[in-house]
Amino acid sequence: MIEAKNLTKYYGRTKAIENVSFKIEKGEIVGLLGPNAAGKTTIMRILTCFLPPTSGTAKVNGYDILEDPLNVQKNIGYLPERNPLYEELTVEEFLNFVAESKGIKRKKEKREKISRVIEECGLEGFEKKIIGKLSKGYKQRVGIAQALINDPPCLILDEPTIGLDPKQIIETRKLIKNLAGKRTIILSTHILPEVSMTCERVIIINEGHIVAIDTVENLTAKLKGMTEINLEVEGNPGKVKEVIESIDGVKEVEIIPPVKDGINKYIVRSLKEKDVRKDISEKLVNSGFGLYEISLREMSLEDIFLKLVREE
Amino acid sequence: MRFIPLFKKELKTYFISPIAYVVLIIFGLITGYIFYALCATFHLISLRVSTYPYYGYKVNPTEMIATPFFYNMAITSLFMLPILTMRLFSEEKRTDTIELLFTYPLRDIDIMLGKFFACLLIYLFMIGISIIHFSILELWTDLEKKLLLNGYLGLVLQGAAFISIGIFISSLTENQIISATVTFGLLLLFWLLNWLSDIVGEKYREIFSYISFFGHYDNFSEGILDTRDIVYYLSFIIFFQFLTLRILSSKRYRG
Repeated sequence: MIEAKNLTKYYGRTKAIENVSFKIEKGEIVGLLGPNAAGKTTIMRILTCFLPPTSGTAKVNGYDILEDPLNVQKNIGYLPERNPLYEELTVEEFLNFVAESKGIKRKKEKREKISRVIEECGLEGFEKKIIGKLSKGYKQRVGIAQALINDPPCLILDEPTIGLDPKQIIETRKLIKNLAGKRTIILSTHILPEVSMTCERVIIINEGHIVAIDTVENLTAKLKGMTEINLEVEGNPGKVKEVIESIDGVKEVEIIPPVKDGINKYIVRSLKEKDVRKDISEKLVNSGFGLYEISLREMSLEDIFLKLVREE
Repeated sequence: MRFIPLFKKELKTYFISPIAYVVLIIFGLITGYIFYALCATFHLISLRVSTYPYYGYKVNPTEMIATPFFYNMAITSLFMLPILTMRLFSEEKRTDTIELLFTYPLRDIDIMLGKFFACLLIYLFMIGISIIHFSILELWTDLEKKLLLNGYLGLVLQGAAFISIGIFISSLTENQIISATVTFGLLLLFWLLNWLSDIVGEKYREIFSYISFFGHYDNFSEGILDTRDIVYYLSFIIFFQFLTLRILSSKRYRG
């Protein structure tokens, strides 16, 4: 449905994204995840033909973004990051304008589509309200409504929950989930729980590169190939580190700051297949260090994300 | 005809904002005042001239009211049109709604024409007010209709040229005040450019007096229909619309 091939974009001399390729199948919800300024918005703007790529290309529903932008735009509903709207118009006037701009001509069809998105986005009773006077959450619904109006097969939502209060965030997520199924959706976010809650697949992006593309479960599992162990040990930090690192199977030892004399906290990363807890405790006690705590650590998606981004 | 939706939206915004009402009222008041003053002067002069029948042939309402009135309407619209064009693209850029517009299946030319025709229609309303004035005058006098038609044709062409410059300037800046000021400055400059034609000498005289609005509009208000003037205005309009399209597509390219 959406296929990006080696997309690269420079703003002057600054690189925004480089060699970004991915493929999204029909009906998928995919999260574009990355810290701020990672290049998420740039990718979305390229897919919506707002910006041309410096090199590479993409296809949406079989249409090339460079050769056939008008057809690409007919197949896309786009919610830009800051959700710009014509605030002087009423909800109905605005949706009417969007419907006509997207090529819906016949009056009856137009009326049907408008009343459908109004229902779908929970805007009943707000048709005659001026957009500028609506709350942020309702403006967001209007933004999603304008993206949906011509019933496009692809939806591109740039940070759909940014700046909303917790209740509105939950409502917006629910709305997005309801839209899934018939449509292909890409949404960008820098909030991890959002991805695990709404998306089936994640594209993790950092500094303009794709770091990982996988399902949420697979990503968690892959990184779970590593086990993390929390340790609290009394003794000279340098020597403790040396002792633990000498154990077979240990990959990495990290001292959690602040480093001080006496008791310190450590994170030990080891291979999954081998449980090194027994070796660690034995070796530490035999070397005369005081072992206060040893425990396994569960990895959250947050950790995985940070880890992937850091590794890159 | 894909510019129609944006055309309707722009018109709506003009009346909601309510720039259209303000501009229409002020323009109506000023041109009404000018019309009254011209009629009153004409009345005074014709009373005086009636004692010298020899000069009578020069005093006719078409030449003494219609011609200067068209001229003054053009000057007044030079002040008013920058106010109509200033927000057309500047506002979209400031509020980022340009991103919506550019991601809808519309071509740049649809976007530009939608805005151009919406502004032009408001302008037609503005100059249309004067039809009332002439109709009233027509009750007591016999105006030369063809001259009036010619005058209106000139006004429309001139207004379209003003609007094209205004839209072009608006596409360059996010700031409406800058947009209006620069547009106004340019319009005035183009109007007064013919002053230079007496100074620059034989070689360039032709160029300066051709580029300036001044001579071309004069012809229309005096009842002269010259294809050169029509070509001048049309090329002016097309030139600035072309520049606007270049700016729009380069905006897409630079982000």
